[in-house]
Amino acid sequence: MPTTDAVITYGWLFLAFYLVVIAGLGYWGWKRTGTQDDYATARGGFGFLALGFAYAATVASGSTFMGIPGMAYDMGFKAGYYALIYPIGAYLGIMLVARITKKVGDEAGSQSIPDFLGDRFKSPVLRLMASLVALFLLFYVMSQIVAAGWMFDTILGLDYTVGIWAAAGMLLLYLTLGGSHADIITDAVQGAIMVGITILIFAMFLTGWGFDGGVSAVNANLDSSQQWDTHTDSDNPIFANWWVIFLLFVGHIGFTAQPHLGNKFFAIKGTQYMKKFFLVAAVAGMTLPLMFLGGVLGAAQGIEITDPDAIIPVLFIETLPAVLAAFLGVAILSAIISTADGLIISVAQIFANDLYRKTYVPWKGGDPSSPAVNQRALLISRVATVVVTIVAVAAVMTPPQYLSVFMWIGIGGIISAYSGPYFVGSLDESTSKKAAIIGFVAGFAVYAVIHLGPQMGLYDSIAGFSLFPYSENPYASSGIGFIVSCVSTYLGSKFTEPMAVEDRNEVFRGTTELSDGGRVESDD
Amino acid sequence: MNVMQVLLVTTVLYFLIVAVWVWKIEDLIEQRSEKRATAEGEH
Repeated sequence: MPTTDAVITYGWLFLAFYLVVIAGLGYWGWKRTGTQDDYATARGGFGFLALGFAYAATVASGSTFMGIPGMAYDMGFKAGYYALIYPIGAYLGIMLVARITKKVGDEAGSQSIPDFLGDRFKSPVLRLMASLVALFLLFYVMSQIVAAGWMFDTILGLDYTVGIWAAAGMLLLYLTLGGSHADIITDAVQGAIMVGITILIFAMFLTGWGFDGGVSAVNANLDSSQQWDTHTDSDNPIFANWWVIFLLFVGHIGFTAQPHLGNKFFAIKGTQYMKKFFLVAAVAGMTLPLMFLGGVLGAAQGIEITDPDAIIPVLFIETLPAVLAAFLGVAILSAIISTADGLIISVAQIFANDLYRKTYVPWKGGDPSSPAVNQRALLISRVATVVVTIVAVAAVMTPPQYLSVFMWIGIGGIISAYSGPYFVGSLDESTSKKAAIIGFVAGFAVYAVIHLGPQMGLYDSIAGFSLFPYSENPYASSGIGFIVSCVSTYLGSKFTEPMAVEDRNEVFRGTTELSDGGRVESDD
Repeated sequence: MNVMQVLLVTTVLYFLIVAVWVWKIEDLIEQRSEKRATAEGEH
C-alpha cells in the first residue's frame, strides 16, 4: 500500500481524537442506561435528526465505503445499479413497517425484531425461530471486523492482526457502557461525517478529478466493459440481466427486517416524529452509496491495487493532501465501526432478551417483566457484548474461507424468512400465527435451496435447470426469498384462522407494561 | 440512455414517492388506523 509517513502520523492524531469522542459518548450513553430496555433499545431516547443519520449510517455499513466502490472499480458504472437501487428498496421498506414496529413494539415492550415478531403474533415459537436465524449475524460482525482490520492496515500502517483487536477495543470502549444509546449517538455523528465525505467524492467525480474534460473523460478512460453504456453482463451474476437487478431492489425491501436496523425504530421519541425521521434517513441513505463513483474514478485513473475494496482509501492517499487523506481514512474506519456496533448489540440481545428473558424465563414459569430478571438480562447484555466481540475477532484472525456464505445465511436468511411475517403481518392485522410460520419456513427454504446449497458446493443445478445466477447472487436470491415469504404468508392467512379480534386489539391498540415496569400509552 | 441517466430517473422517481408518502400517505394510514380502532372499540 502506498501509505506515506505523513498519512500515518495524521491518521493516529485523528484516531486519538475519535477515541476521545466515542469514549465521551459511551459515558453519555452509560448515564442513560439504567435498565435492560434502555440497553437493548434506547426506547424513546432520540429525535428524528440523530436517529435519521444513525439509521442511514447503519444501513450503509462498511460495504458502502469498501465493497461497493470495490465493485465499481472492478465492473465500472453498472455497479451503480447496486449502489443506488438497494437504498430505494431499503427505504421503501421503512415506509411500510417503521410506524407499526414502533407502535406495537412500544406497547408490547419488544426489545428486538425477533422479539417483535414473537409479540406481534403472540408466538414464542416464531420468536425462537427468528432468534436462531439472527444468530448468523455474528458472521456479519466478523466481516465488519475484517474490513476494520484492513483500514487500520491501509491508513495507520498497523498489522491486520493488531488492527482487528484495536477495532474490538474501540467497540467495547463504548458499547459495554452505553448499549443502544452509545450505539445510536456515535452512529449519528458518523453518519453526518459520512454524508460529508460522499459529497466530496461526488464533487471529485463531477469535476473529473485528475482529468481534463470532466465526467465524459472519466468514462472514456474506462475499459469498454466498464463504461456507462454497458448495462448488463450475462457472465456477471449480480448484473446478469434486468430481472436480477429488479430482484436486487425487491430483496432490499426486506433488508429493513434486519434486527440491527429494525430495533432503531424503538428509539424514536414517538410516532409523530416518524415522517421527519424517514425524510432524513431517506435522503442521507440515498446520498451515501454515491460513494461508488469513487471506485469508478479510481478505475479510470488506472490506480492499481490488489484488493479492490481498498480503492477509496487508496484514492484519497494518492490524490489528496496527507492530512485530508488521513481524516477521510479514519472517518471510513468509523463508518465500519458504526455498522459493527449495531450488529453486536443485536446479537447480544438474542442471548439476553430473545433466548433468556422471553424464552427461558417463561418456559421455567418465571415472569419476564420482574426487576430481578431484567437486571440479569442487562448483565447478560453486557457480558454477551464482550463475548460476541471477542469471538468475532478471534474467528477472523485468519479470515474463514466461507465467511461471506455464512454471513449471507444471516442477511439473506433473515430477509427471506422474516419478510412475510414482518411485512404482511404489519400491513394486515388479521394475519395468523400459522401463516407467519408458513411464510417464515417457505421463504428461508427457497433461499437455502437456490443460493446456500450451491454456495456450499452441494449442487449447481436442480433437475437439469442451472441455478445461475441465483447460485452466485445473494441479492437476487433474497429477492426471491422475499416474494416467496410474503406470498406464502398472505396465502397462508387465507386458509388459516385469522388472529382473534381481542388479540389484535391488545397487540395493535392496547396499553401494556414495559419490561422495566413503566407504561407506554398509545400516542394516537 | 446510459447508466447514470437511468439512475438519475430512478432517483427522481424515488424522491417523488418519498415526497408523496411524507406529504399525504402517512396521514392517511394514521387516519385509517384510528378509524379501525374506533370501529373495533364499538364492536
